[in-house]
Amino acid sequence: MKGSVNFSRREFLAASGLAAGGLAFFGRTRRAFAAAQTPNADMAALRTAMLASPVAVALHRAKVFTRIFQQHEAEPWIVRKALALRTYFETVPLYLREHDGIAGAISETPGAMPLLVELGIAENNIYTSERPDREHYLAGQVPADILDYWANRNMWGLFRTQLAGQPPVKSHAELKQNPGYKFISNQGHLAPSYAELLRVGIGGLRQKVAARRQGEGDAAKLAFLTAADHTLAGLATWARRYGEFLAQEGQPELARICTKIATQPPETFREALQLVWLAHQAIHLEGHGYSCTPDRLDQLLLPFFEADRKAGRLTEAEVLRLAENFTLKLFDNTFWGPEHHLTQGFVVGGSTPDGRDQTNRLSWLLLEGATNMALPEPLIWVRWHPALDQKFFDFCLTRLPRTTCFPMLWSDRAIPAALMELGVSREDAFDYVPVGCNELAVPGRCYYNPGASVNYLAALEAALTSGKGYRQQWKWKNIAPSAPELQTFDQFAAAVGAYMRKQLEQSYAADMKVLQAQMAWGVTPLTSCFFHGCIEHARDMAQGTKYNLLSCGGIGFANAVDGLAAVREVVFEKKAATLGEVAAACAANFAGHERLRAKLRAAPKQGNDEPRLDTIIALAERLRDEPVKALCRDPRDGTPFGNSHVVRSGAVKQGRVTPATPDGRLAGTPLASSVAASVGCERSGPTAVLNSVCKLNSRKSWQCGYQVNIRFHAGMIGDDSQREKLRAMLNVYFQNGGQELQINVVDSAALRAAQQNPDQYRDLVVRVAGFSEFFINLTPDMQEEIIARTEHM
Amino acid sequence: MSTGRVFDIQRFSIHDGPGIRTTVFLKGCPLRCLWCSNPESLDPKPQLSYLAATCIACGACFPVCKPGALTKDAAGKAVVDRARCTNCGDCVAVCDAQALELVGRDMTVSEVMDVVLRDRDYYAQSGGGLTLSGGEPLLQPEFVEELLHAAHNQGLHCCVETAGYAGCEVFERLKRGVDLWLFDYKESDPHLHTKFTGRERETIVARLSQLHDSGAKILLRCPMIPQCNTRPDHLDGIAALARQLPKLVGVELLPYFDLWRAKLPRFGLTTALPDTVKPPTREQMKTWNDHLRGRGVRLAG
Repeated sequence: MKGSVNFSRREFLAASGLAAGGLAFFGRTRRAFAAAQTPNADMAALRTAMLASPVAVALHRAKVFTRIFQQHEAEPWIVRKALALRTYFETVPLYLREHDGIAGAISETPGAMPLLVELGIAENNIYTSERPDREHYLAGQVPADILDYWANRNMWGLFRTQLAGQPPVKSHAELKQNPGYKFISNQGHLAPSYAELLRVGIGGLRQKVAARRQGEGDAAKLAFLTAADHTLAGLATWARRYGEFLAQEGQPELARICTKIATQPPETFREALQLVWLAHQAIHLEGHGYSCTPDRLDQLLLPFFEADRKAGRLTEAEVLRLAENFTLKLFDNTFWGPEHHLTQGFVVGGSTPDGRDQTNRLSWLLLEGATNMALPEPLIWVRWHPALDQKFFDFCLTRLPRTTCFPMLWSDRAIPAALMELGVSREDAFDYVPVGCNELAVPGRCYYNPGASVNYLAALEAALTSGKGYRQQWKWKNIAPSAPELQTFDQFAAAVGAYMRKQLEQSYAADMKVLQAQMAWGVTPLTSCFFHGCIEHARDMAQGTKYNLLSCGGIGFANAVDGLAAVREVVFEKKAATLGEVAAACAANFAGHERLRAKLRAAPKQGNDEPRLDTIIALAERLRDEPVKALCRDPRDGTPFGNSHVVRSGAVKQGRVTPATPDGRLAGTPLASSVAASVGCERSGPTAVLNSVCKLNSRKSWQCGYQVNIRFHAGMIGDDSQREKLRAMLNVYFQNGGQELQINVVDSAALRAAQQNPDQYRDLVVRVAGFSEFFINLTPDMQEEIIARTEHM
Repeated sequence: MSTGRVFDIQRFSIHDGPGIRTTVFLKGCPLRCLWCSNPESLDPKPQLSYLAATCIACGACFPVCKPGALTKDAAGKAVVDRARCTNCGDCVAVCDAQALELVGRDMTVSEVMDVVLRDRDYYAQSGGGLTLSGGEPLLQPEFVEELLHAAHNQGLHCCVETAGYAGCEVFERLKRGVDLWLFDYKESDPHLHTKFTGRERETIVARLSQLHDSGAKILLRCPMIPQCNTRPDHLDGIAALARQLPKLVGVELLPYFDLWRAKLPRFGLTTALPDTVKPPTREQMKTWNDHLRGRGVRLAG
């Protein structure tokens, strides 16, 4: 039933090579400190047990999906998938953790990985691409017959053989490459809308599907409706089975709740939260790996909370405990192992389209409970807006030291305007939620999906080398004039733009094939039931949601701005070097070109509120936006693309394989994860950083999200008068157009101490390039990057 | 328009006056406090700063150094002979790595205001503004007067931090443009005051009293330096002074920091303050604050 690697999470870390010097147990001091932050000893105990859980693979899903797909090869894909999910829910062992007050867990031990076999397996590249030291850690965990059955038959296999023109492989072992993340995770980056589920219950949704079937003759539509009903029936069975199981386990109240919500709509806060939890897990189990956000909990659950409070059924202390419990459930669900999370999260606060503050008592309690647990996941977000209750905003800031990074802040001033730019209605735009690291979605109406990408730094490299690359690795011809012909900065910039356009054409074509694969084999009928219009139109969400927002991603934006500025100053203004000399220096990683590197580094850098960069920022945005606008459309309904800054740990990962860049950055070092500044280039304080960010055009150029990191000393948060100044600064940042901000509360001394003595700092959470992690779990170069980011006293 | 000799402009200053501020540091000071946190601020002339860690050993500086103050170490990096260096800055112009820098540059009022105004939204939101510090701003009264005037024209709140050692006429001249004085008071014992700061206490206290009596808003700021002035008799002296000056906005004790020591080698400077002097603990600061509070002193911040 379960293939467990015989390691606890902590032992796994210690054994994996990285952990020289005592990663062997969780820091007692810190854990005790964190435990002391909750009034609920049982939640502290549950948290402790989760942190100590083993690294494991939960094979039940893989086995069921393989068997059902084999048995029903004649059925449409969507029906096979739904039958498999239904069978999974009917047969999966049920688990109850000690102290847990919310029912439903994916696996026997927290964090175990249910392989999404029908998408792609390979060797779980989630690990291997990000952490070379984790290579092959899954080897031997998955039975060969399962691996071989899927080798050419899952979404990745069908994509390779039917869309990418690759020959079928004879066995799984032949697969040397790693699939892209969508073949591991499928879509994710979404937020379902649970309002209807809470109103009518699973039973009501089943009735809606049944009613829609009446008179439907279209085979594809019938297949979707059949599939939707299978999955809803499966979810109901899972809830009912939990009811029976919990009754046997001596948990009558939990049993009653689960039995009730198997068919009926919830009527109390506990019932509603339980239903949301089962649905949330079900969405992951259906095959969405990354970044699912459970709607807007503080808005959705408020009527239940208020009714219970009024009736005297529920105390605030109980809600706080449930908020802690729910947070732990999300952490339990992070099924990709100890270092790599699903980036689940939840958001509180926000405003209505007419600017009214929606922060409520539940927002406070959810935030308090979540931060009490001091975990790297779930992410916790707060929506800032001009009418935000400043007392609540201050409360948000006081919570930062508990996790060092949560809540992260998003702006209702910037984001709805940007979404409306892509055709989202005002009402829907003000319902937005973050999904994942720094992506955006509207619950049940649109999700985040990259459909093209640009590599700013490769385009710079191409322009510097006449399209050849530093190692003569490219054969691009006739795209732009050769480097010696570029006589002015404008000509150089145009050449960079031309290469960017070429990249975009290629990545768009490739990504549209992936989208085609998702539309055929990445269907998720259960999740679709929580997206507006899917049941009505009898079509899966992959075929289209209310809005279809594809976007162009890019990485290292700040490096690109700095690189363009450096070339402008050194080559075209001071004429201190030629483009060829800059290219030669980058190719040599500046060995023997130290003076030229120094000149490039002395040029103005993003993050310092430098007026000379204003035109460069606009230029870098334009070089990307113009071709995106000209070339990229959603194939389903023609919606123009948005843009986003792709982050995650990509800044470190991509940095490893990126050669030296004309901003003076050395080969292999991290790229800028934040649009605010490149690593180590913030020299003018936080107001300068924030002003620099506000020069980006978030409405026209970053509709699908960017990311800004800034760090502050814990002392600044603890001091009332300094925190007030910090809050004033943040208010200005968001009033002036800032879209997102994550604050890291930490100091260098603490980080160095954590490197020296990891045992003492097991609970130290930091944000790394878009996701948060225990500091000591990071590779040494990631740790160095964190330390290198400028601190602001 | 006059120019001022500025050695730093620090944005997001949150310890020098109310709200979020930009602090403009002016070079040159008549005092020589043993613990000065800006040792590069004392000399009014520009000074060469050299950071060996940043040097890339390119060798460009050696031929341009006319007085022959730069020599090569074994790694090819520069070594500055301070006895020969005239702080002319010729080497700075060729130092691409920015290891050699000249600290203290002449800026016009509008150049300074150009930077200051970039954060005006933050001042408005937080009740902050501009702070002039140093060094001793009162050594450059003409520039300070013009800068304060320009800032007031933009509606900015202005603080001036001073050690108080200047002529009466300078205070008279600047009074109108200062919304809040951050007046440093370092030692109550006249003998020790001269020993620690190099100047006599009487002049400073006299200026303080005159300024107070003229109705200026003053925050008295007292640096607490372990082994120097953290004695109960100095704390009592602060309390006594505060009683004599009832219109003070308040008294603020500033904890000593030792980060300035890292700056000394950059400028070839030395210090007479023993390195056994360490920053006070939070508990010590609380004890001293309580001492003052117990004597009826209104504490700020």
